[in-house]
Amino acid sequence: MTALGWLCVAAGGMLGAVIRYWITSKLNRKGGFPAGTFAVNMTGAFLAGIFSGLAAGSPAHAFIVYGILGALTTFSTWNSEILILWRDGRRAAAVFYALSTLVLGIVFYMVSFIYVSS
Amino acid sequence: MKEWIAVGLAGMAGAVSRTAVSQLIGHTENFPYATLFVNLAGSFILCALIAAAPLRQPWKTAVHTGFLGSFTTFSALSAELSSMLLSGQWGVAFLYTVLSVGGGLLSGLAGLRFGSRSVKS
Repeated sequence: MTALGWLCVAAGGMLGAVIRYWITSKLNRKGGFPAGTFAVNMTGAFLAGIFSGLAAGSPAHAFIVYGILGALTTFSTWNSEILILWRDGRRAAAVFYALSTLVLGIVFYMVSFIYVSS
Repeated sequence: MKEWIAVGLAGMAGAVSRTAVSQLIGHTENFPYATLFVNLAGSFILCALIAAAPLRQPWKTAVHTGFLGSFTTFSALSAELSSMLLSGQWGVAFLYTVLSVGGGLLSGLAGLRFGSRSVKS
């Protein structure tokens, strides 16, 4: 990766994290369904399909894919929310949240990927 | 310091660290080891921090939401799983799902235990 590429990852990562913070602090309710995390992960998966044609290693790919989308979406928060829902006895919600994120993430990516590559 | 600025700076560090891992590991044998590594490691650390709660604001939000949120990624997981499915690699896709989701939950549980033990001792 070039120096410009690293700068693009850094700038995109900052942007993606701040947007995620803003959305999750508006939509996630303590003890409730983590709608904010769900929203950023679905949006990120959809946009990843749209930008899947960018050449790996290019500054645009570094900025958008590694930076913005990598940071906009999160695995660790999703995972910890599943465990906390389960621990709090909301087991159906935990399973529903885990499966819906996983399956719809793939669906959103595929829809946009197939749309842009057709 | 405004919380969103702390999140932005930590998010920048998380994205750069994630990219550094992917540059170091690379795409060996067509399996996304780099994404798997950052997601499992990030899940362990986040859960350990949730259980032990050693950080105060704004550091807590900066590290939990900014750094670890950004270090781990869901968009790459979706993209990688989708391309495995679209190219008919069902077995690899199944393995990657089990390792990511099952492995993530196990490393999160291990993190919660590790974190609560380090508080007691």
